Amino acid sequence: MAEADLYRRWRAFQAGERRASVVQPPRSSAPRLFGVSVDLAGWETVPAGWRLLDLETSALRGGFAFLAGVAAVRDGRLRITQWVLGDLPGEAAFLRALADELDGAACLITYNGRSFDWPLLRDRARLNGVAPWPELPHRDLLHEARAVWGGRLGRVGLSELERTLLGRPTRRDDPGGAAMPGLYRAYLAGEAGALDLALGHNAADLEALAVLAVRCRSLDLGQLGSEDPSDLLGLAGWRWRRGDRGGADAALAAWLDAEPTPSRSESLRGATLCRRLGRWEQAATLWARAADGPFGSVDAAIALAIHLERRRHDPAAALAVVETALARPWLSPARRERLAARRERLRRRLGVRSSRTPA
Amino acid sequence: MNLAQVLDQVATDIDIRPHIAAWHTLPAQPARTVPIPPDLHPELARALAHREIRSLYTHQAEAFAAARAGENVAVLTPTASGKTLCYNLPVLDRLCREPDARALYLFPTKALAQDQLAELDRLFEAVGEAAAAWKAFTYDGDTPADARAAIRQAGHIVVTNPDMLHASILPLHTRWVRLFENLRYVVVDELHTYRGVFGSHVANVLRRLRRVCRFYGSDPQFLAASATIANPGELAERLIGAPVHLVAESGAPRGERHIVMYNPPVVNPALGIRRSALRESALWARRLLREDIATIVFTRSRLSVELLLTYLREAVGDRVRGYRGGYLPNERRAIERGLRAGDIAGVVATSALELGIDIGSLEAAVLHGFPGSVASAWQQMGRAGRRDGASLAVIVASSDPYDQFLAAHPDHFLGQPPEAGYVNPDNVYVLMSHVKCAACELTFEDGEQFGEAPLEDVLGFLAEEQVVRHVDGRWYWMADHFPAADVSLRSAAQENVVIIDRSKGARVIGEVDLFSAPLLVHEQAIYLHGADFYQVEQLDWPARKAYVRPVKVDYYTDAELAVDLSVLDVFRQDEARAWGEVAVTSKATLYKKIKLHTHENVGWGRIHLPEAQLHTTAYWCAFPEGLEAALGREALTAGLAGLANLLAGLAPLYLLCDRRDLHATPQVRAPFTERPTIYLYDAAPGGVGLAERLFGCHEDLLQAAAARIAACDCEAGCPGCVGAAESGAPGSKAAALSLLTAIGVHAHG
Repeated sequence: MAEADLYRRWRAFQAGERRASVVQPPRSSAPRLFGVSVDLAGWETVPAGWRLLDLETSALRGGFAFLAGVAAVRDGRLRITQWVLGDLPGEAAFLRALADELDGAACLITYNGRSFDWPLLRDRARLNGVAPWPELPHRDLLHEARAVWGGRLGRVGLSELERTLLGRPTRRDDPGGAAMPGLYRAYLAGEAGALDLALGHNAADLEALAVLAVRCRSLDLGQLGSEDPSDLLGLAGWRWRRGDRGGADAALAAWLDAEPTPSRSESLRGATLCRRLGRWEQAATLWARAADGPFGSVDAAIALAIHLERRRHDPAAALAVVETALARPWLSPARRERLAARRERLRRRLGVRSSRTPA
Repeated sequence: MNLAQVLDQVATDIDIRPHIAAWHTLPAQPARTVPIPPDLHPELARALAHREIRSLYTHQAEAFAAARAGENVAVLTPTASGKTLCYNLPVLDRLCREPDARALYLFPTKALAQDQLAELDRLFEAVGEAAAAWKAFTYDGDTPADARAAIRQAGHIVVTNPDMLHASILPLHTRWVRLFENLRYVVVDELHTYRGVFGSHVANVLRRLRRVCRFYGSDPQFLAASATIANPGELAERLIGAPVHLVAESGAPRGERHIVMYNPPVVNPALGIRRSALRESALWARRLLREDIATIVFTRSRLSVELLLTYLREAVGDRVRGYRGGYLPNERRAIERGLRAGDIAGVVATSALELGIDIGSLEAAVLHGFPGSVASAWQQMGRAGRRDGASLAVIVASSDPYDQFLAAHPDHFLGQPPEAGYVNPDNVYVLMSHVKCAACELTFEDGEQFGEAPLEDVLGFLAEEQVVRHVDGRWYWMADHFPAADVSLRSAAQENVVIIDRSKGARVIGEVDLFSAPLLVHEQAIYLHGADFYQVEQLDWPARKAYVRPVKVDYYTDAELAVDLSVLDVFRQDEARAWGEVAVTSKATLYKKIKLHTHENVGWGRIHLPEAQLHTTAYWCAFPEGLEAALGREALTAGLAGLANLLAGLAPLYLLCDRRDLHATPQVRAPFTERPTIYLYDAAPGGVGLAERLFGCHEDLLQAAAARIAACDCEAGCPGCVGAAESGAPGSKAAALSLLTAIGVHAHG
């Protein structure tokens, strides 16, 4: 019982026992400023107003930020500026310094900052009476990374992307994000070196974020050639969801060129996008591909049948597609019923036509 | 026949009359009203007129006036006396005057919160246009994530429970700025449920609430309402941590009330066996329901709800419904609606219906056995009681010694005050958890108050534990966890086993709490639900699912639980007493098949389920070895049981806890002490310090027990002393006294 141990220590405390070893020296509360500058290829394509932000916090699920790193381009180099909360009473000053740095930024770039870093800062600002907290345009690269590369790579944590997508060398001497809360407590307890480890980790994260930002920027600028074909489909879907019709069509066109043999699920996703973007004939080809074979997609067959009937005005071809789909023994009863209803309707329609034009 | 005619008939029926142990009549009370207060906002006065309310009961007016004057208010009201207006009037009046004002309503359960929301919506509708912008929401575990953001901003009245306030609203207070900046009233209904350890937790949650309000510049008033309890004002003040204006006199009218204590006839004089109280209760209910008299039957267990329901259905058809824990929320709501509308004539319920759920008022209540406490008895009887016309409450005594004592001494119950509710917010085990939560919510300053709590001490300790850091006169939370997530306000697990009917494509038909599941839904058990019979085919314990199928059988099952206690560690001990860590294991062992109606045992089977274990802290007291020889085993067993029960009943006075927070286990020959021993242990896993304090007040407690027994003028034990024990066998009183004498405790004087 961990709780029993706690209360045993409480009784000892009440009896006057004090554990001198844990008495912590107060430290200067003022925010401490650190700076690093890094050479980074391709950074010149990135707008000067972008600010990359990454926080280290006192708890994995929240707490407060004790380290904030901001990266921006200055004189052609990536300049990383880091603030450290000197001691807990300095949080308001720490937040103000950070707000001043970010104020006026054209765009904030984060990785999962939309649901973690930014709301946390806003809450802490409110708690510390730092108002108003700046409202900035915010591009959280996690969401687009998941859409574009998540399908192929599976996990899209920043450290995974760093290795798999960005091809950066494995970090050495990096304690990892999970160690951050403990490192700050060690720093407060006066342990030399704890802070350096946290600063190093934060800078490495920002560098990785910067490389990713350059990659995303090159996609923005239409440089799609170096991407894996299957990622282009993800990119097209992402841009469609963001309402960027032109961008989605460009990415889709690039995918259609680069991927002659899409898988069944890719064919289905590609066909859906083609339909939305009015590429009907390409959609039909992809539906046919997805519906093909004994385990072909029934959804694709239905979509194809609708297309053949309504757009190509060819109910006979539509009926053939439906009959092929119905021949599959593994259909669920509900599916089978719907397909059978469609078959009946198509048959009736064909029957009506033939009766009107007697031989 | 109407109720008056039924009463006439009962009074003269030679088969019934001799077995009525007492017939008590409480006279009708006329309404005491006052005109609508002139300072009530005109919009609201108009809304009341719209609902045909042209005057207020005196208690409603008093509560309104006190709230208008800025006081905290606690209202003690009987069932169906217009309680909710006592707090809704001040709240809505404020909203009329201050459109941005906010109120927070706390109810102990989600169902009550839903009820209140419906009532608020009706009031808003009556107010009409002025209320168009007002919004009331429930905010609990079922609230969808996307609705939460809107509620935080727009909810004028947020209806929630203390658990949600503790675990979600307070820790995220920066998201609730609008609520906290404008919070004017906090409504705490069903105040009497917040007692003992649970109440102590809630008192600390309210301290945290007041602290967060101060941060945002608000200082809300508290409006509380409580059912019958001996000390509502005191309990409210302890919970809220501020003086309270108590409104104790109800002005609501009440019809004449008949309280009948019925003791079933003796069928075997040699053995003193009486007719089954369950069957007699069914007879009373049938007698009333056949005359279309709306009746509620209260019984103690879920199983007896289903049995009574089965018997009543056979007699009067399906206008009778069951109501107990484990029915799904929709089913319960439908039953409540049916009762209010009069579509359902009768209901068989457990105390799940005791809390203020609105079912309208019924004409008659039948209590199968005396419920655990005096307050509970009054609440159950209060379910029958109308503003005009007579009502009847029948208590059918069971063969329990407690019931039999009351049947023999009916004045003992009628004259007894209801139990008091105690809380101890400064119990350090409870306090420490909430100081952590509070420190995480807002930094503590040196010299800050947290109720009466020894705050500096606790914070100093937490600094040593490195969860807070003391710098420049403030205490900062610095640990890497989220303390509210680690603290549960209720000691019982909220987890359930769901019951799934396989015959209808895996439909969920009910649920049962984790503790009772081994007894009610073990494999082969007959599970009754709404008087339908199901057999459990499979209990998937890890997945918390029981699969059942409807069956036609003429028996039900009843399982037995074996409980064992073993000592794991001794923290302190001396000759007479000890305090340490124990493991209490319970295991369902076997079940019996019992035939309907005759209640004969027609078979049995074994139950194969893992045992449940509770690690907690216990206080124990051992008695000399030679007592078994001196008293005889039977008397020793009875004496230990009686004394254990008495000690557990007295302890709440010393610990400021509730009877439910402590369990007592007597052992005639305890394996650990190798002597007769009484264990009293914390009901909460891990313990909340009650055992430690019992160790400290050991002598006072035993002294009080001796004094209580000596002062009681009963012969062989009664509920006033040792008698409510399960084995309140003859001789338990004398044996308990011998036990005390054997360890040198004598009643003074």
